Amino acid sequence: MTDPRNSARKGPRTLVTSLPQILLLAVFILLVAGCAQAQSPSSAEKEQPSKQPQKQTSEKSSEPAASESGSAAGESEAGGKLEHPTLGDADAPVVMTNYSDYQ
Amino acid sequence: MISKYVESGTLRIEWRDFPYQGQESVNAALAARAAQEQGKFWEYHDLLYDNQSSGNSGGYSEENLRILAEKAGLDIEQFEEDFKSDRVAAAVNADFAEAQERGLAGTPTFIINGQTLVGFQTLEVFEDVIEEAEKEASSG
Repeated sequence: MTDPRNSARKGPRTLVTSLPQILLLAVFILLVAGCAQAQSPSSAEKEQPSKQPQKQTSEKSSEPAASESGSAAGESEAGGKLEHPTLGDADAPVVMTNYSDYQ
Repeated sequence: MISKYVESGTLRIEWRDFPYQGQESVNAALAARAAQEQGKFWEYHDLLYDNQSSGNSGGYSEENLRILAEKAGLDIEQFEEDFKSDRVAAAVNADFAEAQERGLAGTPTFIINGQTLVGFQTLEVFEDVIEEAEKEASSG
């Protein structure tokens, strides 16, 4: 026969301890789900290739600046318009623009 | 002139393409700007003049330009891609349009701080104009 004191003790104890556990579990699940979403890129981001061509990155690193070198410079710019080839200091007081044909 | 004025910081030379003598002029201009994409414009520019061609006689055929690219140590696959790229074509076209807007009738044409010299010049002429331009720049 079941001791009514035990059943009375068991019933409320189970209910009281399980509610906080359920709430904690829910909070934990929400936190984990939130972190996972923040860390993983969307599928669209995963599939999208880099828009920056590799070539242009390497050009920039090897390109001497006209104002720094004072010699052969004015080479390519990464992306956009290709600059005019230049020789010499960017701050030189005299600028000679040379329009030429190779033939 | 380069050692005397460019390396001393007095003069900057800016290149403009004005390929008005036909397809091979255009080919050469495109090739040099493709070399520019690999940081070797001036090396390629010098090779073009060292192997100068005239009258669209095949000297600046695509094959010969590729050989010059090899001599310049360029990445050939990249060179060929850039040679046909819109970016390089746009650069050459923009220079050509600029020359036309200025009403230039021939090459070479040099504009030194606003003073125009048409045709090949002696070193003395360049020296006079550069030194005069430098004086004006420092006084004004």
